[in-house]
Amino acid sequence: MTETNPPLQLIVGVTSPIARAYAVECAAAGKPLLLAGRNLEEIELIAEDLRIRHRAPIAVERYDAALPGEGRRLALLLTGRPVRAVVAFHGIMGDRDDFAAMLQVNCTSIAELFEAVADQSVQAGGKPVLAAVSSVAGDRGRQSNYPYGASKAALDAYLSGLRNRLHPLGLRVVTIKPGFVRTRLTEGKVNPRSPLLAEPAQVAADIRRAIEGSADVIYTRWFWRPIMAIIRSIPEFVFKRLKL
Amino acid sequence: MKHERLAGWGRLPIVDAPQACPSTAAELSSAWAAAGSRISRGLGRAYGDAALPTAEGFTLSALGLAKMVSFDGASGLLVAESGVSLAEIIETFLPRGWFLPVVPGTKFVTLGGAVAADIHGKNHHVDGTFGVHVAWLDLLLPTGGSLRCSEGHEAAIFRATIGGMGLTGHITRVAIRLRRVPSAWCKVRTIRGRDLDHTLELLATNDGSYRHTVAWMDCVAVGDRLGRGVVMLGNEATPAELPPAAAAAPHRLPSKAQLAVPFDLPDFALGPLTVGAFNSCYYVLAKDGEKLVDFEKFFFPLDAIRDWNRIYGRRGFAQFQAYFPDATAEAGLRACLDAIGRSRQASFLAVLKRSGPANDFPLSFLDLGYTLALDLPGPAKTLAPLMAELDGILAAYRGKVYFAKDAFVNPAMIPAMYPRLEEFRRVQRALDPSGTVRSLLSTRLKLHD
Repeated sequence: MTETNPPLQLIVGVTSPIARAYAVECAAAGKPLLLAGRNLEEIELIAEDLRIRHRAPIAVERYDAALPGEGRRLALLLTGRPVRAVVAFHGIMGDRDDFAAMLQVNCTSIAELFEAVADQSVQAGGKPVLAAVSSVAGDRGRQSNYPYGASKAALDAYLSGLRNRLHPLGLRVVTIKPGFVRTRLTEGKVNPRSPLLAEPAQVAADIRRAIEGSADVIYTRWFWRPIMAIIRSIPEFVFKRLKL
Repeated sequence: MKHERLAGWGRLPIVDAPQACPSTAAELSSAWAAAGSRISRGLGRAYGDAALPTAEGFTLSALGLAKMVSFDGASGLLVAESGVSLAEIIETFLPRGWFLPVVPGTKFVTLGGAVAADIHGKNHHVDGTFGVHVAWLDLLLPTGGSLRCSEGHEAAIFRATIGGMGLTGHITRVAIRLRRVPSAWCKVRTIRGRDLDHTLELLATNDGSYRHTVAWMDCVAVGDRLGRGVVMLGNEATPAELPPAAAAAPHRLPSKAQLAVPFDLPDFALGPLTVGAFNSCYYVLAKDGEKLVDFEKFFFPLDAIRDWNRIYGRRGFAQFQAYFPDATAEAGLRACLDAIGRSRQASFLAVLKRSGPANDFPLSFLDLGYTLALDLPGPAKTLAPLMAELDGILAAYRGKVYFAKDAFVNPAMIPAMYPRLEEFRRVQRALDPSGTVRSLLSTRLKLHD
């Protein structure tokens, strides 16, 4: 039997390679999608490609994470529709001058969106999964990348708290921590032959399993969990001397 | 731009070169505007140096822009970005009853590559090349700016681009007419040809009644058996001709596991002894008769083995594909097979195909006659004498080589092989006056001047 109103997935920041790979996974399963992001022209091309290949119902919406208010507007579009998941893939990487912008895009925008979706869902009795892509960089600040890492650490703490709040209400929150993935962000920074470098499709498959399963925090690929455990366990008086 | 080790499918030659892989239109324009000579690259299935840059140049990968743009379910017209592979098109549309009008021996080529090499397949005598089924294409011009061209608009540029080996600009989008097929199966009749005369006769006499024809050649056999082969004649099967299990979903391909060659095999794995044994067994074990074969197995038998080029080990290999017109085909093919047989450098992959009349594209390869294609194991040094001998045969019998497969031909022979080269050059020069679009192949074969 086919569902008359199958639950929707909202994918935010869909032009990133990981998000696109995830959208392909969902569309191939015929699931309805709402794709959101800043470059609407590009997103419409991605959506049409998925419609042609998978004949999946796909809608698009402009969304700019740099602008306060956009998350609430996006959440309103979901009212009255059963929502399976909201997955936030967007993020920016900059240096010390970009701290405010990174905090807005990498943490505040997601908090705004998730708070609005959570409140709506609780009222309407829906139980969507709220998932956001953080980073292993949020596990410990390193001199090479700490403004970015700090924005992701803020996101981690936010997601942890939201999970704690929503758990009694039956809503799941998933924190996704990718390591190196073959994207623009890692090009030129990571050796393309490095065994640590994952393909976007592998990461997307891990994310799908996490959303469909019961995980709270996933590392992808899986080996980043022990690697980051070691890095977190280094005492600060040693860590501050390391060149990382 | 990242530096990468790049090679054609034959892994002869290999170069270290920067490669740009834009994934949006904006990134594409800025990558295309970078300094240095450039050449587009798809899935790297051209065997030689067609998609390799010159010493100071870079390649522009089409793989980052691989979206399907529109599909008309009534006419079958598909518009897609040039990085989309034929495999993706088949996976999407064969279950809905559509197939590509022309496919080469592998489905792992991009749309852009299929156009640039104007590929042909087992149905050339009926359907011509890939290019004749292209409704229009979008080209990023060498001087910047883009152009949509077709037979009705900028026809000279359109025709020079099809088969133009990427030298007229970067193909960004292709509109290709898909064809309805009754099922994903072919009814294949197999007949063995005793010798070259018999094999050629079987191909020529059955052309009219079969859409897909090809002969696998035993290029180890010499003397009386020279040119013996297994002729395969196929027509697409109707659902009524399929066994009940397949007829229920006639366009669904049977799923099967893909094998892979995980590492380079040692050089002795493909020596004269193993190749000779394989060729004899293949011929002797082939049964004359008719059977149903699915499209995957019929059109792309080698795609079942991922990275099959590794069986040749580190030495790499060259592909040799020659075309001979009807008048000289028999003598030319006999001379080629004889030279290859004597050299004991033959491989187990040789195919002979009857080709149909030429099209309107100045650098397109085939015309009425026959074409022979086979692998010759490297390294380049040991191949050189045989290649020189084959050049002599091509010159004597008005043969020509296929750019997508060549790595060795004597450049002085190209103008005679491609009599419309000057016409191509005029269009190319007008589009690219400062000569920024060039490949190792175009430089080696002096396609520009």
